[in-house]
Amino acid sequence: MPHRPFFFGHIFPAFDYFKNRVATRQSGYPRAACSPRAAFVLHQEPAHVVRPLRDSQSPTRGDPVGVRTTDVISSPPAVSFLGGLLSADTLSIISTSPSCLTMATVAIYSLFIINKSGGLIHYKDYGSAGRMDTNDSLRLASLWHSMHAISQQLSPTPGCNGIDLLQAHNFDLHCFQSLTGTKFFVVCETGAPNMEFLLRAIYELYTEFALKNPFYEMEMPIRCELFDFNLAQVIQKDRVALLGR
Amino acid sequence: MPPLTPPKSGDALFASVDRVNAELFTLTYGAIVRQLLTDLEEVEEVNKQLDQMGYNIGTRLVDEFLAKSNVSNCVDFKETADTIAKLGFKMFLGVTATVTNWDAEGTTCSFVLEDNPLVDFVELPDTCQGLQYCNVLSGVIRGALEMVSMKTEVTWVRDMLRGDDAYEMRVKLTKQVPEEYPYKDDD
Repeated sequence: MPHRPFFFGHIFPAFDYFKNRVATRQSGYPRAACSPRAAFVLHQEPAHVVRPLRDSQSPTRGDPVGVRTTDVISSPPAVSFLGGLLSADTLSIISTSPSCLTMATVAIYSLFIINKSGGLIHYKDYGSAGRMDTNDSLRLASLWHSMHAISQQLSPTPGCNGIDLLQAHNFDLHCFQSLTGTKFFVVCETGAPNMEFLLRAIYELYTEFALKNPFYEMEMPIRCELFDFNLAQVIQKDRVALLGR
Repeated sequence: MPPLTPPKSGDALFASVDRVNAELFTLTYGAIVRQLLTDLEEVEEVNKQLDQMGYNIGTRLVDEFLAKSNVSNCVDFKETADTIAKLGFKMFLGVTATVTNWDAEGTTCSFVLEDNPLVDFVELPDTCQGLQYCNVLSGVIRGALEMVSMKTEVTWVRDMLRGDDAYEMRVKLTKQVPEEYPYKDDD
């Protein structure tokens, strides 16, 4: 059977997607809703190559992202087809050689949130690469805070709001600073799209679940279960939308 | 980073946030004020507590406001006041305030509220004549503006519970303190 492009604009949680996909494979494509994060997913027959994230019915609360990864094995021509189908301002996310696929299973490597004085209040890493311990993450956070502030001084024109994007050889760092001075930055794969939207969504989660928690002290590390849970959901949705798994 | 989507209008903003029963809100606030009066007994103390509570609320509220409304940096205090009156009050109280009485330098203005959900059903007794019933609102504005590096003083000029025709609070910008990174701290 030929490769069939599979369009889903409706963002399912990962396990739901797989349940539905298997169910609808024979009956046709699921209803496609318009979504700014729509992605094409290419899969090749036989469908059992795509394994569901979990066998149980629902992800339990506190399930960290990436507890079990799915393997989507695509052939090189299919992958370049996928790269072409993705929106114009994104680069192909999945590398062509199968040996690099495990590296490319995460779009986001890590997320940092720093308060207005540069102290780290939240750190989460999502990939096996670039994992760092607490001290290193604290150091990196204050380093980034300093660089961000210095960049405002370096600006030739007044009214600079700091660094938005740092592009390195094999990663990108997107940063968003709210008007109150809290910075959200994410280390992700080069060319990962829509990171700014993700950062805004995380800012909203911060206002909802961290700031509205009366027992959360401002500028202190975030220890709110609801925040962690919803953050994991948002990251997972983002991953599913981007990478189709 | 500039806003990714255009800033919403006041009505759109009000429609997009979760809302609560207005009576619940009014009655809860009334219960707070009554309890503070019972605990503290001094009307001035109660005023101070309400202002402090408002300050704590304001420091947290401003991030939610900025996240949901997508406004960009305000150029001057006039724009800030307009944003608070049209978007801020609308989003959280469901009413729009009007900005009036600008002074010559543009650092002091008045917010006038015709309609105030905090004071539905309220009448001040004679024993509480010095009470600023809505003092929490002045604290909220002070706290919120402090988080975006503006120090302000807020006072009540007119109060319907005292027989005036509207609620008017006077907001004075005392200092604007942008965060400066002290990278020259070896000087």
